[in-house]
Amino acid sequence: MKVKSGAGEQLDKDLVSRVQQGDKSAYDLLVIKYQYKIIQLVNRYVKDPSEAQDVAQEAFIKAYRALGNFRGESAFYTWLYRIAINTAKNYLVARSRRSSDFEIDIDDAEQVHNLPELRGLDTPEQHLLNDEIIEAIKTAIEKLPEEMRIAITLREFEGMSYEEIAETMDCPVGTVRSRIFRAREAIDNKLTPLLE
Amino acid sequence: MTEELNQKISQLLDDDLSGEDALALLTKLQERPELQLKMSRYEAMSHVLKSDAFVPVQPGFAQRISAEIKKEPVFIAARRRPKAFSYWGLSALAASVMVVAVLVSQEQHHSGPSANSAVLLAKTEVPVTLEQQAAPQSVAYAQSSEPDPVASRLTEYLQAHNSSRYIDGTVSLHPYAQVVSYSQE
Repeated sequence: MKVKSGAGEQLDKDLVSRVQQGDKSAYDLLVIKYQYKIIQLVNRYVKDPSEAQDVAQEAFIKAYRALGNFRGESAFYTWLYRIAINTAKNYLVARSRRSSDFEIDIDDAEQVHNLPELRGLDTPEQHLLNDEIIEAIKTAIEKLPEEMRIAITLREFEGMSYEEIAETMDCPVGTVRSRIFRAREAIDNKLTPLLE
Repeated sequence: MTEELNQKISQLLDDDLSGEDALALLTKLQERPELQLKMSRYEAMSHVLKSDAFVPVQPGFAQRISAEIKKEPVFIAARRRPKAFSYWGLSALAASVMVVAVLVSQEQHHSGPSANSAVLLAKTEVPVTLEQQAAPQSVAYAQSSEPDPVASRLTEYLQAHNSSRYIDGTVSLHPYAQVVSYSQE
């Protein structure tokens, strides 16, 4: 089965249209689809995973409220991405004003994420766990059978499509699809115990 | 079954699902939060490989947002006004009214200030075409005591669009529409 590129974008348009006509459950599907991307994006600014979840939640709610003005001139994710960044920057400005530990005069929210005082708010325990998880994922990749390792590497590092990987590895697209999935499952089997 | 769904999650992340399949999968994910966590882990491992940073997603994240959204008012999209009508349509209407107003004004100017001449103008017969000559009933209708429907409609139109003339009309210069209405009485 060959899927036209951009099927995901069309699905987003359809879901947005449903939300604009009053179907709230369609927005739930957009949240499910983009929750991870938005949380990791916000985390790049906030540098604290639990705060990042709160800010990401705020961004999703803001986006819902603004969806009436969304005319589809850009992709939904691009639009959501901008809202998430602005929400994160506003959050940092508010947090810096609240903080009694240090005083920072912030006139330009664009500069907030460059401030060293606002970085590294995660705890040493979180740091340690994160390092352990990162190491486990890398080790799991190294231990994958060669075909799976090549397939997942071409997909994740080179950003190749399934068709391009199939051409490179000289195998059917279905085989690529299966190899990538099995590679992810193998890594997930190593990752899950660390997260419990 | 779950394995099949997991493979579809993997495909969704790589934009390898059709819109229909992606929608069906997202609906399944909505019903089964454990599958959402699976997707988050797949995304997290991809993120680690690219950026050397791991960001966990707390269970129930999407459900919390869903609960918040339920409190929000239901969306009703604002109806878009057709731009072509709002600009060109109104412009055309304004231009038509202006043309009629100019024609009426010129007609009055040329016909002179006398009310009698306006009455004569109202009674002026339209040149009869060959077709009309061939159809005597229409001529008879024009000569009958009943008002001509076309003339009535024209009169109504002029009355409706000549309100300023009613206001501005001088003693010796009666508005055309007013004169026509007098003649009908």
